[in-house]
Amino acid sequence: MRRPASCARRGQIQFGETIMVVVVIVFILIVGIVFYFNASRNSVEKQIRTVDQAQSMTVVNNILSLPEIGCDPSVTTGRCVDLLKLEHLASQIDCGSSDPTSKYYCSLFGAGLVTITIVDAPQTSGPTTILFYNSSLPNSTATDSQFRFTTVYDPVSGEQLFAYFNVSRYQRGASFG
Amino acid sequence: MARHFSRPALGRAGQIEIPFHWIFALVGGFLFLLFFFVLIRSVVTSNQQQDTADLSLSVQTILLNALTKPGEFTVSDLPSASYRFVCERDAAGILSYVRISQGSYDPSQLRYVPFFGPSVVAGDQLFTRTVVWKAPFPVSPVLLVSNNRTQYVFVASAGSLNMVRSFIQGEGLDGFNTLVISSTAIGAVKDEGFDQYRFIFFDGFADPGKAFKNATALNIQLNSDGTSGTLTFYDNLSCAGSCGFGQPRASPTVPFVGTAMLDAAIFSQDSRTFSCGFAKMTERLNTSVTTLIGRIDDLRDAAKNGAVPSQCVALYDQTEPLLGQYLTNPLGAFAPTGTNPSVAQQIQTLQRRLAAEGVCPGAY
Repeated sequence: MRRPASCARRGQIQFGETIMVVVVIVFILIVGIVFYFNASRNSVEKQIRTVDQAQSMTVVNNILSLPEIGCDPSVTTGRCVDLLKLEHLASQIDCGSSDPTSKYYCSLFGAGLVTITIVDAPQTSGPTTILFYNSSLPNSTATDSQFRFTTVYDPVSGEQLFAYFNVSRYQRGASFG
Repeated sequence: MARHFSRPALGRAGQIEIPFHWIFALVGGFLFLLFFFVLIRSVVTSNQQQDTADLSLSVQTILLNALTKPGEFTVSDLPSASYRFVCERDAAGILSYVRISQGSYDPSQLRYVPFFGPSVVAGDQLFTRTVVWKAPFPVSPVLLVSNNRTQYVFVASAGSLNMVRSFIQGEGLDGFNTLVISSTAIGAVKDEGFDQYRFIFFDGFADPGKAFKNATALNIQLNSDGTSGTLTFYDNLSCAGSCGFGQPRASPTVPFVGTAMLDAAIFSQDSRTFSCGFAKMTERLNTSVTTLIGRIDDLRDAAKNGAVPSQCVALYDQTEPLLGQYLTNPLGAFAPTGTNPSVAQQIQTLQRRLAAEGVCPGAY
């Protein structure tokens, strides 16, 4: 059955308006979703960075409070690390092994990389970096480094040396970007 | 006015006839309600488990942070709940965790944290204090855990009361709920409504003559040096009525060395949890000794190369085999053999001699 021409034309126009409204609404929704997703991503990335920084500082605090590497109280009363103890403790930590010593430190420090740089080492007359701890995760990337200054006591020279800890955390998986 | 709903009709021989759409509505409605009931129940259970896991993680974080603050007493506010601290040791190893309810938990959560406290800490506050165990070199942090609803009653003879007060102050235990009382006045101790009572006897066990809620006791026999001795744990102290401690069940006597180990015993629920926590500390002892042996080797090499005065070599030579004895028999290193001082005392003496030389770096 054929419809009158005027009716068909009016119906087509009304249908087109509806489509336009739907398209505009969908467009606004898509823009909103993209905007919301970006905002959420930035917020999550910021939170992850904050947590990483806090964890890095906790790791340094944990290291500085280890009684097994602390200085002799007769040498210094403040927080200080004995260089030889630090080196020998570092040589005992292997996160791939199953001995209780390694498991203890690896559970305490988590996945990360910790080095200590002695700014003016007497042996080298320049900066010396010691790898204290390294426990990486598969398919992980290291985050930004955190630095913390401290004092290191060298029992051989009897000197207290200026040094800093450099802590990076490992994060599993790809980043958002 | 005509009614449109259909009514169950009595059929032949008293049978009730229900139209099919009613049955459909009843079954459908039941399934609909069941679906929402199951959904809400699973959401509530999941939320409870999540809350429990979050709380458990919070407690773990508090304990780990407390470990980084040796010498500090901290009070942490927590949601009111019953926190069960567990440290179990068997042939398979050590299981150690904090559990809030029947929800999920990690049995190895606190595996490497040497904590000592009541098995159940109920309430909204967690007290922690970290001390360092020395043997005589620093070995391990010792985390003391308690709450605002546990009372520690120190009982000693009248002549020892000042010594006990100094010990409490020196070890920083005065932040906890402590009470120091003479053994002759133990009957005057009042039940102040605490959840748990811990009696610590310095000069022999004494019965207060009345029951206290969840009461346990520790009897300390101090050696002449004041920092070592033996410990006897007592449980089964809470009996109904006014029967006092009656016939307490005593654990086998165990030795202790160092005030940090004594603190640990004071806060331990019983001998089992004490030995479990001590096993964690012993693991740290092995690490510390291995570290110190390597350090002594380096110092001796430095002395041979002239970087450290040569007179130090003889003292380092004496120190190293003594340290090695900790690896073979950790507890034996603290016990004097006959008239000879213990290995720990010999190392302390060598440390003093190295310091007296004025030019030799210490052994630890």
